[in-house]
Amino acid sequence: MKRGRIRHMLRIGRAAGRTAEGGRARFWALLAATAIVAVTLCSLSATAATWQGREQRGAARVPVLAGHGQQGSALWSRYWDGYQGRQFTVVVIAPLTADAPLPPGVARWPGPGEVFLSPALAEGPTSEDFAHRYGTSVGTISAEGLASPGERLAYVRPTTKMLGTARMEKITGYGGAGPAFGDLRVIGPQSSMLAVIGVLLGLPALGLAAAAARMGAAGRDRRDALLHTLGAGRAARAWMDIGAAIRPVCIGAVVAALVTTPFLLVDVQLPWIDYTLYAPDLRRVGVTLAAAVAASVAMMLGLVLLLRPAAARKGASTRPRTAGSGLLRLLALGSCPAFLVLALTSKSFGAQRSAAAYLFAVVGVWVTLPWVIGWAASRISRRASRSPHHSGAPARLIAARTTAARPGMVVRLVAAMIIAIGVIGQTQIITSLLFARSGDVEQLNSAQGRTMALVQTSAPRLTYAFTAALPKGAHAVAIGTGNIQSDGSSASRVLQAPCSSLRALQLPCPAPGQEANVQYGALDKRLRVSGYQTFGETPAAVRTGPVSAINSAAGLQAVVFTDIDEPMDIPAVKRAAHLYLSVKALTEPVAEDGAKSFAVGYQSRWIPFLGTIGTLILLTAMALAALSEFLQFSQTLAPLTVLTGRGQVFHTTAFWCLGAPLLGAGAIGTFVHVVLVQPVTGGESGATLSWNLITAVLTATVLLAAAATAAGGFTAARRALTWRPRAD
Amino acid sequence: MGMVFQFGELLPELSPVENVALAALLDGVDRDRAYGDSRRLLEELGVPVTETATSELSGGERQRVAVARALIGSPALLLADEPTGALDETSRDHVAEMLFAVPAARGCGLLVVTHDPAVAHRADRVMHVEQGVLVGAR
Repeated sequence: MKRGRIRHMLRIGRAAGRTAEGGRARFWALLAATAIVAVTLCSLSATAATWQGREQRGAARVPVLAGHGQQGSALWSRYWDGYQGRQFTVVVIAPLTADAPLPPGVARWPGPGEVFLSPALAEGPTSEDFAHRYGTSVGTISAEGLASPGERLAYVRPTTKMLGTARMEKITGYGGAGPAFGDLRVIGPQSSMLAVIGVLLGLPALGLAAAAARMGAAGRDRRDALLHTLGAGRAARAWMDIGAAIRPVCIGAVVAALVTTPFLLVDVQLPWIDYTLYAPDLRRVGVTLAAAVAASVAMMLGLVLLLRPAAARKGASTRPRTAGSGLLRLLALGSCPAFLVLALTSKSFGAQRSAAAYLFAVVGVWVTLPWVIGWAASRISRRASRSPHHSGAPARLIAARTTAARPGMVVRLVAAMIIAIGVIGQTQIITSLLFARSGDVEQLNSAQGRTMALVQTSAPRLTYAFTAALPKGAHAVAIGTGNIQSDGSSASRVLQAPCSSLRALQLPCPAPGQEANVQYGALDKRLRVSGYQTFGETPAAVRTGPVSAINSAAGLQAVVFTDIDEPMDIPAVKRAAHLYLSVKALTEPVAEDGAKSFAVGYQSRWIPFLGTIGTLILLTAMALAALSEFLQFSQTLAPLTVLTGRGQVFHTTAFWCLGAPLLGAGAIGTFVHVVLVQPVTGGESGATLSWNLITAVLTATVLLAAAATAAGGFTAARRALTWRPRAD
Repeated sequence: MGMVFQFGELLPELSPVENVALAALLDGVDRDRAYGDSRRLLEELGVPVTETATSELSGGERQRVAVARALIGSPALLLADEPTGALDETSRDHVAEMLFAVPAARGCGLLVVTHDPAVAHRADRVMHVEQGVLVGAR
């Protein structure tokens, strides 16, 4: 096709798009969809770039261990601490020579008892007292020493007296081949994060893009068929469709570019998840980001063309068309049950493949389910419109015939809601899997969980200095593993402390050398939670004695606690343990017991964060789809105004056309979610299905259906009042 | 009062009989009577197919369905706005003949707005309107 003719077709398409029914709504929908698709593609590129930068900086700070017989230049060791349910690395360092190399990001060697903190810790709340927790803070670690600017990390040089309490390695420098530490331990493989973004952002973005591309499709479909009949070729019609979409798509890409640009200029802290994007990392992939924005334009225009009706089909009509049997719909109808079966049987694929198979099947079910619902709605409507009972009620007659003729309307209307139920449901299930905890934990609120902390140290017993530094009213009880079963097969907890401390936990105080057994249910609920993952619901053996290591090989483990209703100063306990027990003493409040690993603390924030954004995108898609359907719906019903002066028929028809499909889809979507999660729920490490969430989703569905019915009914009734016959 | 438009303005997803019956149903007529009357009326007006989709009817057939819809409530006056404006000559003549037979057959008045002298010629009384002003009558 000649260039001049292409330009002409683009111009005609643009004019047609502007004046078409719902043209303005489609303009904004395409703009928003392109911007969101572009931002999603940029997120994928940024994730890859961020990974690379983190890995480079992370590798640069890994110590090079001194070889056998080699003189090291410094001592190095690490452990972890926790804050707000997230663990972070504390590196213990001490120079052995005057020219010992500095860790990356540290300006000078800290003196004994001095500490360098990352900005995230240095700016932490004063109540946590990071500035004095490990010694005296004398500076901050610069960005090149951190995986990301928001990383929590500390380089601690212990006092000479405490240096011996840490088992430390001799090192010669940095940039070694050992395991990474800090936030790099937090994040799993890059592919996992890309998959999470793909599912939680990509899928909703695709739903939004599809909804925008098909918005106001009925009129365009007719125009396309008309042009085909007039002899316009496939290319000419494609250029016209591109002309109708290109302006909003390009503006959307510009909006996305404007949104993305600040991330290249300054470090931006993402809300809620406490993660900072490092601008230099993103600048390195500036060209890729620009390409991602350009790709979003190509993707959107491609989608507009892909989702065009097959107007060249034989027998295509310029009149409103009834439902056909598109290849996509047939594929969806066939594959949805297959995906469901795959999800339910995914466990049989073996430990490694089952997770991937399950995820693949779940995505498949949620993508294809709207087509199944559209098909079912069409079949039910066709049957209903033939039934004598239904054809006697005007609203149900109109709705049944409309739905039977245009099942795509139901698909567009319910698709976003179905996928939203899937995203919300899966987010809850994944979060639940990360936090699979005993029922007692659910009952223990966060404040109570911070009145007891588990202290683990290599020291054999509590020192006087430590006990004296504990907050007022705090007690300590040693905890360890013992065998009290007669067959010696299973382990249970042993608790040992002076009588005063045992009584503070309502425990018996047996005579020295004796043991008293206490059933699991009779233990203080903080103790039940604290040892649940190790001991389960076994009884405890209580002994009277000093707070010392029960299993000497494992070092001392003790719970430090106050009365359950009396808040305990956890930072003070941490400081005391670090300064008076061991440099590497671990102190963990019971409330943070479920967030034991680095990864859990990380994932537990990212998944709801991305899930929330994905859900917001889907809600936008749903609003756009509903708006599109309202426009078409009100146009269909407007001529009814010549038959009746009463507006009730508009509202009743709106219920059957819009409200009822939403209610049905909500119920089916929720049911499918409950069925889909069966393979991953139940058992000790299984997820818990939140019935509160199910209730909330069903309530939201009812409210949404009511809102759609009201909006559709009022729009149609108002439009009917101003309706004029064509060519009037 | 019944109304017929230039393009019929029927609901395309409904069959002809449903389009006609809908008007009666909205008027509170019971289902059996509404459908029975509609079928009779369509037969009377010579619409050959009553169960097919309205979108598949010809222009003349569609106008006859529109007339049937306007007549189902037994109106005292039938208003027609360019009822033959979108039809070919043959269809125009059929529809006009049928339309102008209605007053005698059903005992109602008929008011037609048209640009077509051939249609106007069938009327008992013709009034000319130009630029919104009545300029003459016959």
